[in-house]
Amino acid sequence: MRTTNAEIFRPPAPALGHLPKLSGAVRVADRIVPETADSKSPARRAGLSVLLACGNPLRQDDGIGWRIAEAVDRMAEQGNAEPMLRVIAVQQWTPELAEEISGANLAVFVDASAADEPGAIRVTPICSPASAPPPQMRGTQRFEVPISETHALDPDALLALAERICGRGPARAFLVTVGAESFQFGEEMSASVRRAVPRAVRLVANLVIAFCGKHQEPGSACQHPSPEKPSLIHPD
Amino acid sequence: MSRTIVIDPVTRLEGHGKITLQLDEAGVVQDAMFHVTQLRGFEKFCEGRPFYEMPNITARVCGICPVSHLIASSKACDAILAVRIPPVAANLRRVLNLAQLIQSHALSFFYLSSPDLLLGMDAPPEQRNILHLAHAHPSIAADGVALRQFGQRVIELLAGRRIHPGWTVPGGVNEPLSAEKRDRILEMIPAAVAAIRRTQGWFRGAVQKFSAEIEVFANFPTLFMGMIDDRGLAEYYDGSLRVIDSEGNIIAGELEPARYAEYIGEATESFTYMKFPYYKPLGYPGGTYRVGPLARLNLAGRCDTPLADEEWRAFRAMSPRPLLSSFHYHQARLIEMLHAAEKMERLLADKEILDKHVRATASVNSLEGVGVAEAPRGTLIHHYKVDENGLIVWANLVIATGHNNAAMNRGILQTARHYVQGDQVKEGMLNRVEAVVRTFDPCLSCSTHAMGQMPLTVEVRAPDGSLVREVRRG
Repeated sequence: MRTTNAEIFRPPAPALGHLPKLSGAVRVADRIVPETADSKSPARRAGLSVLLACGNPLRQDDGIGWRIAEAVDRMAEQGNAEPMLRVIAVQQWTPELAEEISGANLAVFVDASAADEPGAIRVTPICSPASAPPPQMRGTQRFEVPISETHALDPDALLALAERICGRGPARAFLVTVGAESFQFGEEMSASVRRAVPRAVRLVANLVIAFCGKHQEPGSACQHPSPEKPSLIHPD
Repeated sequence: MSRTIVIDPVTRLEGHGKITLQLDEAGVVQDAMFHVTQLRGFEKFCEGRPFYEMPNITARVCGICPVSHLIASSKACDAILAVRIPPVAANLRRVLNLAQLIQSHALSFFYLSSPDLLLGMDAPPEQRNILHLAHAHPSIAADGVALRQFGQRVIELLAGRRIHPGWTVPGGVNEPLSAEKRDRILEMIPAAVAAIRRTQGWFRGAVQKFSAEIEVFANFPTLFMGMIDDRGLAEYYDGSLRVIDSEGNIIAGELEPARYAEYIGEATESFTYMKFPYYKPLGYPGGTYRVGPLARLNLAGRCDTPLADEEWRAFRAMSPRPLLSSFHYHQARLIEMLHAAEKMERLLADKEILDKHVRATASVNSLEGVGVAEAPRGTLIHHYKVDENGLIVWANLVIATGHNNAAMNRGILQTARHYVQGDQVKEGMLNRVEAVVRTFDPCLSCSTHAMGQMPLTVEVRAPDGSLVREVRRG
């Protein structure tokens, strides 16, 4: 769940046509999918897109990331091309995921947001140059200083970790969030968030298609991010 | 005027806890309490469930140690079935348990404690985390991430998923191991061993800087308890329990785990949801003991794998008696990781590991079952009673972190008395108070199982703070 966000921008919503077919994907589950023997090779990773969904599907709207991941995964299953998308749904983004995104062409993080209005979709390009100092970790305040947590990382922290310990992050990375209304116990999402799912799925799918196979050198996304700025799509 | 210092939350632990330090008029620490502020209640809401659901239910106690609960629970269910599970199933569970040990120890050592060890106890608190560690020591952080991932991948290959797998079931496991999966695990082991060896190399140098902390980090005599095999060597899945004193004397050599209630008592205190197990013959708190990596390496004859035995000998050579400072838990964790990787390789190299007969089936043949295994943090006990239909009528979980509770509280007091004095309280001092807790690697999510026994006070106060009503239980 995102609790903070960047400044809100209001560009027009992206053109959303029919649901596209993605190239083949691995199945999404409450686990990290097993990698294939060659999935760590540089050539393989260069064309790879990774979708990392975060949330708890037992806490109502917090499960939005998982719902989107499941839908994108189903679309990918309909495709016939060789696997180019790896879908990972977890309750927290942990340091081990750094290796999953290292060297990938695209990483799309999907999560719920407590800061935006329910159903609003926000797309934020993420950039974490290797030369930058480590970003602050998510944490709490104690004795007027921030105290870091260890089990949960933000996307920019994960990118920084990938660059430091694996030598390279993904060429491009985006955070897609959907404004949530309720984080109570339950598997049923609130109506406003449920309505946002198809559009969010198309948006994520379009991101994957747009960058699928277009390998970029790591860091190039920092100079040429696309979308250029964070964007917010208000609910219908 | 007396003063209280509260450290809340205690950071870089599994779960949520709070430390209270009570100072006297002169600013000297008089008392210290480690509060576990969560209540889980698994023992109660499991009542009425079929016993065969228990492995999956109790695995939800924790997202870090689900495998440990899965194994102890499955063993308790084996006892209810009154079956002897196929030997290959026992060995597959062993491999799973060792993978859990590696991933959990990697989390504790690299993610939670190594920022203190490498960046310093007095480093700015916002820097004491894995990200800054990766910035300052990228290769060490990479080894930590790789080792945690190694353990998780083995769990995933064996059991289907990394967190809350369901492969271990009453009577054995529900699927045999394929040759392909075995080979993939075997391929990963050399890199894991190499990463552990590199870590042991830098730790040997780094530890020299912490002689002051070693001196006061829960450095006092206690008993130690852990599992051994029939040769007296370290064992993590199935064996007897041994208790030694602080001089190294074996005071109970081959305790039968299923009869734990005869020699382990469970005390409670009003300030925490965590129980205080103790060795019954010596009473409470005289029977305080420690479990986990330090205890296991203090009481075992050796590890039983070549590289780990070499490290174990050097470790034990540091003192003619058992090592008493809990700071040594860190080094013990590294040795255990090495042993786990070696042992895993040995178990997987046996061609019998691919045997297809991996589960024994039966119905309820005993109305009571106890399952005991060594979790990464220490001895884990699951105890169930069922009716003739196999429905749970009573359950008790004695968790590794609970065994260490009394020693942790005493350790906090010892460390606080050394580092915290009067008004000169600095973050680095309080971090050391937290760090002594981290040496034990407590899992607080797992440890709160005192429902129905815990003394509980509910106070109702008026807006001016006056006491209107007080309700006590226990």
